Amino acid sequence: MVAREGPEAPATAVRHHGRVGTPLLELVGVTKHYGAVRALTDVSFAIGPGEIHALVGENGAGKSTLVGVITGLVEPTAGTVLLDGEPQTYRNPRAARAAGVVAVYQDPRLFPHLDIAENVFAGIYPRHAPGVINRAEMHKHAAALLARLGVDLDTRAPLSSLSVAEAQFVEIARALATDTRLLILDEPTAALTAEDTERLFRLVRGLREAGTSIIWISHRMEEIRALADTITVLRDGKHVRTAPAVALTEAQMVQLMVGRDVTLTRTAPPAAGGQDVLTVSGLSGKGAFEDISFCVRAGEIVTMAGLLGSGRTEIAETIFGLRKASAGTVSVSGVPVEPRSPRRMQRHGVAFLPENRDREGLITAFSVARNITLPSSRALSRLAVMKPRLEQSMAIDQIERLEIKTAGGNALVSSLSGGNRQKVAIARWLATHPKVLILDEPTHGIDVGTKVHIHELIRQLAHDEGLAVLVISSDLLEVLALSDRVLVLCEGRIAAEFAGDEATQESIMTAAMPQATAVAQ
Amino acid sequence: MSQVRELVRRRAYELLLVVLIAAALVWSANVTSYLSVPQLFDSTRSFVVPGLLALGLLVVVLQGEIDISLASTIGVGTVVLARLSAAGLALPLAFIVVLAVCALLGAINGVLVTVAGLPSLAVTLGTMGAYRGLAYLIGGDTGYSAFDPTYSSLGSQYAGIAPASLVLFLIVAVIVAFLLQRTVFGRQTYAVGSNPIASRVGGVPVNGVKIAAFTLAGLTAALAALVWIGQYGSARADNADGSILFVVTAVVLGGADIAGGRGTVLGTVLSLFLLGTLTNGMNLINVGGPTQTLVLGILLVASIGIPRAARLLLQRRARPA
Repeated sequence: MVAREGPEAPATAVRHHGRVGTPLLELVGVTKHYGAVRALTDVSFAIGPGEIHALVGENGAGKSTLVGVITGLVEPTAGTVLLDGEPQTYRNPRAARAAGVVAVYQDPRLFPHLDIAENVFAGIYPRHAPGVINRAEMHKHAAALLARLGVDLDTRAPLSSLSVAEAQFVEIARALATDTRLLILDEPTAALTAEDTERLFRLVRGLREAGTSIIWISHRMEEIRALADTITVLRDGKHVRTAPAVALTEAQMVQLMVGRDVTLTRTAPPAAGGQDVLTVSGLSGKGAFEDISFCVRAGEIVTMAGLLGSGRTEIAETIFGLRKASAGTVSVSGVPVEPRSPRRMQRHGVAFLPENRDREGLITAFSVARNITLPSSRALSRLAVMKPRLEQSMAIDQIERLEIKTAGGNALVSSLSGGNRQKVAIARWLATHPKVLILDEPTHGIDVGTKVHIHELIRQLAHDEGLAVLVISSDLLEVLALSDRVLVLCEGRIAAEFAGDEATQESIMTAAMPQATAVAQ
Repeated sequence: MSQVRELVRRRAYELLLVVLIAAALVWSANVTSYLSVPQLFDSTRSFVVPGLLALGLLVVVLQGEIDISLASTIGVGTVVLARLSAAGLALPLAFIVVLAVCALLGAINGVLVTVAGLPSLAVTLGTMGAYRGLAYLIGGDTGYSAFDPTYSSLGSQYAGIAPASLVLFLIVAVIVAFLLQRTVFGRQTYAVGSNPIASRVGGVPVNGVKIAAFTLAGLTAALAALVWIGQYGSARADNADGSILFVVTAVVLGGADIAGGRGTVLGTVLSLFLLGTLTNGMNLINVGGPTQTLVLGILLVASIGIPRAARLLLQRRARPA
């Protein structure tokens, strides 16, 4: 165990860059396991002073967990974080901030009802006397900070009146309000216009000149090319390579990000073309996706691949009636259906398995049997009175069919393992005999054994029983193993379409990368 | 034997209430010499009005909402009955009108909560005032007591040894229990209270189910209004004002989770009997109204706090295994 150095260490001490040759931040053997899930395994690399360090990897490669470890949000299972060669164990992000380590996230974590200056100085307000805020001083400093960032904002405006991009600059100003030595930016340009991006680039370069180190997390190759001094690639929670930016080509980077051993193998022959069951045309959702058209045939598995934020989940939710479409139509078996509510879509034979199983997919306080029968309540009742015997037999059928490991139909869902919960979530839809099954990350956070079982189940449902299946997955191996057809989403549009046996990890990743698309064409 | 143990485990809370009722009975028998079976039956009349409301409120609370406007709805119900009696309308017709009016008031709450997406505490705090005002507009400031005798029969007559209103209460309790345990609506009620998002994804018409619950609560207020008139023989706009504390206490003390998803009719009925016995005992030894209100308030907070504290303790003990 590491001695507790703490937040008490002089945070505002004179800026020193450590001994010559000592990196600003060094990670040694950092490991984080959540139960059986290995988020990070033995990650070691160093970040020098005054360096822009790009951190890249697929979704789920462990970037967020690593940022959490560096900023004290996540306690590592093993390993050490060294700042200036001194081991650190921050109890929380506040302690990390006091030591000069600050992260700025994609979704600004600010206070919408406070004004800009109050947000910038939240928690460290300049004071007249204990408990009395010196507002004049606070606004003066906030204005100076914003001017340094090159943004012109009224420090008295409430945060809620700002655009996402402006809020992000406020959050960066907040990071700079303390003496920040390591600034972590997580997908900072996702919401920025080209002009704002350029402004941010200038700022980041300026910070580097002043000796601050930056960790830049991004999926955009162009940005990494333009900014990074050093690049670190993570894959499956493991450190793959840290190299000077000039030593890696874009193709090499993609290869390092995806190139792992294939353990899930493709066994499915492409289905013979059935009839179109789910037809989506010109579907748009404000701010999330635009002009999406595709169809899924009976007996076919179509996957939607793409990066986080590419609009996949939003498309699925819109088709299922959980979100409003701003344009476009959805038809099921040739009948146009306006996706107004999940109930309506369910009646037309559409089923949707949300990504967040415990929050949206299941009622964890209910028994296994009641979860399975909930969407079928109407079919299991006469004159609105439930028929317990029918209910019981439906639950038993599904438990046996999906081999759900449970103490019985009356056991609470909360007592089941993740994989078995997922089976319950699938079972409740199968009991309604759907025509279309939409699965959002069906094996997210599930152990490999159950994963293979769920894959077999999906194939059986499509190829043997003729369901039209639409799968959203960030796991490229899963995409390759399951797909009869792959749609690659990029920034809310379909960027590419591949037949299942033609797709490769590289071709999917290339199409999914916002800037790489432009380069490839 | 194991069945007994299973019963104790699953119905521990209800058994606790039974024990408390017995204790309260022994206590009232000791502090007073008036206690007798007819006196006890008679005393149940004091909680039938709030008890009917509690059965309606239970359904709303199970869905994770609250309705504190119900006592005002009674006020509207009684003055409407007074107007209709004065107009010479026969009771069955008049009662249908009152049922419709109270159901509408409940449905308005439901629509404001679901369609407008407003928090139910704020909505029903507002309608609590608004419906009381409505009662004054309809009934004026003065009471009305020249009721046709048929109007007051339900609240004043006896079915054998038991007051008819107590029988009515028990019938309504059985109906609500059946609704909750055996119907699609009941299943959806518990689902919505446990997890509204997952319920929506699972095809439950969340808004419709909630509006139905508020409407049902309005219907129980209509029944309560009719019982009120029989018990007191008069109607005035301020009827049942302030009784909502008793109603909410009954539901929460009955083991319903104020956040929704958990609770039973049996628990609510038992807690009503407990509160009724306590109130009866306090009345018999001349404990004043303000003191009784104080006791009720403490019971409400304790009934929310104690189970939560117990759960925390259990979790803490379970963890370092």
